[in-house]
Amino acid sequence: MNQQATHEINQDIASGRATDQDRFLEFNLGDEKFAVPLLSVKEVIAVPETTKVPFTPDYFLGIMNLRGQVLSIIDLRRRMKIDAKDTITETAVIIIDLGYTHLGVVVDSINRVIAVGGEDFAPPPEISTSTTTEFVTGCYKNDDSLVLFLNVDKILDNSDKEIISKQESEEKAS
Amino acid sequence: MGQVFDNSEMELLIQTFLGEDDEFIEEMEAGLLSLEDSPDDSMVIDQVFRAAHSLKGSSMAVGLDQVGKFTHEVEALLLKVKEHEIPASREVISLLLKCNDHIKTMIETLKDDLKAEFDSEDLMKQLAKMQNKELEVETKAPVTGFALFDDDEDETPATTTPEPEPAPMVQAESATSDIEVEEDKAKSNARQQPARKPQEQIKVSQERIDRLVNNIGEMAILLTVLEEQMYQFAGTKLESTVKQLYKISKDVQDVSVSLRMLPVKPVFQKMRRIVRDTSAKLGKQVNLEVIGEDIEIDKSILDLVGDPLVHIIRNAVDHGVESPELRKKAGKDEAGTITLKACHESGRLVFYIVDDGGGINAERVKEKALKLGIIKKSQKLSTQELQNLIFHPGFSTKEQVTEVSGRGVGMDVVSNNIKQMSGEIEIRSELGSGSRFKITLPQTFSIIEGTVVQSGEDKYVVPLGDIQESVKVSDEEITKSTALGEVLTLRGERLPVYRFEEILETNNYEKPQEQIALISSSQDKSYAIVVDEIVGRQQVVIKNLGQEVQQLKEFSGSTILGDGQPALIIELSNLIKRKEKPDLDVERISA
Repeated sequence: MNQQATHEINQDIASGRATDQDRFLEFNLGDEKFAVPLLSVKEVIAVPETTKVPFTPDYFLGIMNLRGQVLSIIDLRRRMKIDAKDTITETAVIIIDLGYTHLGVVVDSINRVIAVGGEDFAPPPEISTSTTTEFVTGCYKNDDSLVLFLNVDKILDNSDKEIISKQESEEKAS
Repeated sequence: MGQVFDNSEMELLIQTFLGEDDEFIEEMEAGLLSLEDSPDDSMVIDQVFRAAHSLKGSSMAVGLDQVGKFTHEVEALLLKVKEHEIPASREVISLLLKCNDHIKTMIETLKDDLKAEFDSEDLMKQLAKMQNKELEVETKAPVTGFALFDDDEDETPATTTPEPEPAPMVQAESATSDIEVEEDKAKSNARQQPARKPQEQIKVSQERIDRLVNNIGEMAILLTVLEEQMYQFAGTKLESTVKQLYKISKDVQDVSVSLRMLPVKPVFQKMRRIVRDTSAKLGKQVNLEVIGEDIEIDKSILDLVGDPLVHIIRNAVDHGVESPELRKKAGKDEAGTITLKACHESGRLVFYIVDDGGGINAERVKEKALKLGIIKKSQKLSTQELQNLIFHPGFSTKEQVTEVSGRGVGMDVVSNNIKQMSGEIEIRSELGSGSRFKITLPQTFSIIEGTVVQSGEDKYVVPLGDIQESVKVSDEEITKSTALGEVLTLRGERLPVYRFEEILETNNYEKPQEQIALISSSQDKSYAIVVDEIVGRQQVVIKNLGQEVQQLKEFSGSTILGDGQPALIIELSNLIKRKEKPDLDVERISA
């Protein structure tokens, strides 16, 4: 992610808060395109140095210092079981406001801000087998490629957390 | 997202009023309690009346009619007290306190649910009854000479800021002499003059203050880094500028930390009420003496210290102070005294709760503990150690309390609460003459002294208080045993060894020849934690972890080190639970 682009996106986030209702930030995970509501995005930063946190699942990269705030960073690619592209290229971190906490999310690249009207919005394709479908609220029609809208709340879902701790205790037991 | 905004503005107004009402309620309670000590103090009556009046006014103004109507009745009764138609008897004050509680409940409930309905019928009836009944009996004509205060009502619009000294008479223990009353009148008169300028106050949410304090803490860290880099520019103007900046930032940091500090007064106020209610219920006479209620403590500690104090004080009234008959027999004053004191001692915050009651009977504690199997017959314990058994989790069950002339209910809970706040509790008791509890707490939760340790590539912070000592160890000094795992023998004591990298599951790296063992103990068992090295010792600003990692009990939080990298703060006692080791009790080994 080059500096200029990051700066522009952050400018975009900072300006026009009120009209953000129908705007989304589009990004790449591997070769797939996703988008999250711009309203939930605090800012976009380069991948920072992180401190590992023991006893956490593999997609949990650790904690980082964002101007004095300690926040958690997760790798969304691993979270959604998507093969990472070459890790060296343009990776970026989106800081997402989940209401109760801020969370850093590592993605492959930030693409653009898209405006989506109600008519551009389609329900998610019904593929129950994919691990990613539980995070998807819908997809964007007006484009050649498929853009999936992510439900940010699901990224750290409560039931997920339970599963994590359950897995951990099972691992410990075995 | 699409909220309707018309209502929310009104709601905001109401919430503001609800916030202000708290202060009136507190003021009223403080007044009522001191009125009990000096029922004729017209200034206090006046203060209570004014608080009730403001409460009524403000709740009516924002349309909280239920509160308004009820407070109106309370005010009516208070008016009669003020006009000396009804004496401020214990009965009246009890009812008024009950009403005050009811108002408090209503306000608290309304804060969450503006549409809540309340049943005030019963209290309303009691209020009405009290007014009429006393009217019939009471024939005393209103005393003149208090006309000074008659026009008060008009001078107290609903939005008045509360008095800067909400409970001026709280300390009044003995009856005030005539001269003092005169003085008080003069004072209160003077207070109504425009000359009185209360300090203006602003209400700020705690979140904002926390953010400010955190950021300033961060700034201080950065400045330390900057100061280090200044060596390259020694002697230049830049150096002196940075030095000045550093000085000012220290000042700013102090101020920002003090923003979170609040006086313990409201908590002590609550204790007054508890002593009053508990002693009345038990038919005992107990005075509460309060010292140091102006001591300011960190808000987060203030929030947590209340429960343990309530517990200890209730116990002191219930089981410490004897009945008036018993006290008389023992040649004591019929009324017992409990002293509650807050003070600073060597950089820590200390609370004392002292009673002049019967004290703890160590022999009976011993009997009970033997029966419960907490201690063995062969164990020799000092009186002090026996008294400390009341904090033992197995010790406190209901029936013991009455039998053991001392305290016992939930003392282990108290002890745990205090430990959670990284504090200590201590008891001294003398049979026949009373007990003294001493609670020692850190000044603040936001900053701790920490030892930064390195294990592999990672740095962690261990609270300094958790480490008793640290010793250099080489691999040869640690004995390996298949049955017991690794054991370190230190001055004849065998300590189980926990390796940091093993517990943290990061053990694929080259370990240095010599490592450091941190000696710590929890629940009376010592153990050694082996880390690569100690990087340093410093004050660390505690940062909460996000919810997603908060459930990891092994870490109590995080901090940002001097290099800008976050580090986890280790909760040693929880961390070692991950790898349970066999008990290295000497008896067992020899057995």
